[in-house]
Amino acid sequence: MTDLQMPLLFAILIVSGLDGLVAFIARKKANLAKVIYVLTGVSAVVAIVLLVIRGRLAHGLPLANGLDFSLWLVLVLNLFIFFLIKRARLFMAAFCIDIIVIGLTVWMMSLDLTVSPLMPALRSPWLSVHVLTAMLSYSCLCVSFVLSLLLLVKGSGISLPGEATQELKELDYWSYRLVIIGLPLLTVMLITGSIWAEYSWGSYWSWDWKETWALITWLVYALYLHLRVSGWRYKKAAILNLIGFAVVVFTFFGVSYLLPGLHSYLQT
Amino acid sequence: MLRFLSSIRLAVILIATIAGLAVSATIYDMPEMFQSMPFRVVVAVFFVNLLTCSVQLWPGLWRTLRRNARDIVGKEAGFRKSNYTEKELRERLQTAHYTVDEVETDNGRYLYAVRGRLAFLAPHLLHIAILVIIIGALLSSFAAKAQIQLAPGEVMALPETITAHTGPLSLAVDSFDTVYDDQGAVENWVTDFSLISEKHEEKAQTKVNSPYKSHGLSIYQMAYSNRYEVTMEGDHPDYTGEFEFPEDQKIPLREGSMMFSAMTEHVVLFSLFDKDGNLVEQEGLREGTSIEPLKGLRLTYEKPSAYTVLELKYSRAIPIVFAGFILATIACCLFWLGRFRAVAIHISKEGACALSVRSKSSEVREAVYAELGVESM
Repeated sequence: MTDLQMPLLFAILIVSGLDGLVAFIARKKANLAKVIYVLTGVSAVVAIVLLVIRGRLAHGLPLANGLDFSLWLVLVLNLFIFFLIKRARLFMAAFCIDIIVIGLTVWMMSLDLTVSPLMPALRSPWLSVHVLTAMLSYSCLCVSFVLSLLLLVKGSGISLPGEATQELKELDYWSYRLVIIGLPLLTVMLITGSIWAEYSWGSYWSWDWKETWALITWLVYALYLHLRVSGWRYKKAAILNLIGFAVVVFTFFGVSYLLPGLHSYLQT
Repeated sequence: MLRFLSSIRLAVILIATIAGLAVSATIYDMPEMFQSMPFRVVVAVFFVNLLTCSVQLWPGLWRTLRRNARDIVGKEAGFRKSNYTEKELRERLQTAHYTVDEVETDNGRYLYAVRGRLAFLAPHLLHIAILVIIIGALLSSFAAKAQIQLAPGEVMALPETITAHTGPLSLAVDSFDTVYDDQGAVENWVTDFSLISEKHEEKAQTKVNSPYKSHGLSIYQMAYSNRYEVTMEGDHPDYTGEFEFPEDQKIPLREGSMMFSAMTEHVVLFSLFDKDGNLVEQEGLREGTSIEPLKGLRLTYEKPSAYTVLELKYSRAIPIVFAGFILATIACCLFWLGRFRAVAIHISKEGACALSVRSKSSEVREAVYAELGVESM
């Protein structure tokens, strides 16, 4: 089963590439939506198959390292593509998410695919809820980032909110709604991580770099929500959202590679 | 002053400052910054900001939550005309799961429909949760901590930092085991121990992810290590006899130092270093193996003895922090219940319907107006 992993990752890469291409074309030919559904579905199914394989090898839910986390992320991002096309016909958003999925898959292909037994500290029921909430939160914030990016691209040279088109309004609204979903998930991730740390390491907060950057991420998105309440919309909010996602990316990749600490599971 | 202290503007400044300080602590590798006075002052001001904000908001919040149809009687001046009949409006409110309160007056009928009441509470509850967590964090910063290392059969009086709170206590390790799973991988490390006070003795257990907790005292399975029993014979009196050397620690010798490290389950790696710390010799030793690392010094490796490393913590504040966590989790769940919106409806004697939507979000307001047949302005 271990040998199947690389071909399956390659399949995700190809299918997501095709999906992105179709999504790019579909922005002018909306009748291609069904093709996107099929390709997204295939990509999601392959991610599920990979997760099942890794789960069987790990004798439990595959959540041990960055590769497992990214596979879940690929699965949820594919579901988001489905949702964005079905609900709002946001083909360019689907295209951008496909590019992110491709990037994640290429990174996963560079990792060691061996499934190692979990170390005792990771054998906790808190692992599932902590990692899954982190993954769901990052997915929401990732899609929110894509929508804000599109808002900035499509809204360049336009005076907002005065000249806001329906599409820009939707981009602004959904990027905000996704932060409203993602930030509470991030909060739950921090809380479950803290409770687990209290039981495992004897301290619910150690100012480990990963913890610190997770808190910084939380603070940036809290800032986003407070400024949104104060009237920030469209471009200003979108720029802050971009900064927020840059912090998410640094927390996920940067901290693991540049600032190893208690959470150095990404490379294992 | 109070207005500024409770303002969003101050909250924004403080959140940005805390984030900025955390980033700089990472960049300059200064984890001690989080214990520094400037950081604590910023958190203290943030606490005051949250507290004043919560105190100021709760009365209005309470009024909003308790508002009913009687409160909107005679206030229909700014209401917008709906194209729907009363029956159609009621159907739409029911389909959208609104809770409707109504009152009949001489001037017609008033309906007050609400959805997402609990979601309205979410941000305020989260603020309170953060306040509770900060209080708990402050109190738990006074926690007493200590670490002890014991082999099975050994007894140790707990350090004074702990016994100052618990009274005199000793800990005896009854057993220390490594538990393996079906695949042969290490699943856990388990220490069975006895806590001995002046009056009684309590048998207990601690393992990774499942610490012993009682009356503020927590005992965590932190790590384990080995000591290596070694017999040394030589012409120097300092090196004659039976010794127990700790794992991975350099032991000084006449001409440098030596170290014992775990290699496999039955083999220990012996390393010899010169005075400059350069590795001179390395050899794997089985139980009973003798070597002569230095002239006139004979060393026999007898056996390893595992010892457990336990972290002791005394703090009464952890339940406070956890209470904050529970409140925050509830608040997060409330966020997902949908957004608060209230619709005040006036139905005249002639059956004309007019309404006003209340929501913090302009998007929600416009959406509800559209749902209830009010043309956009």
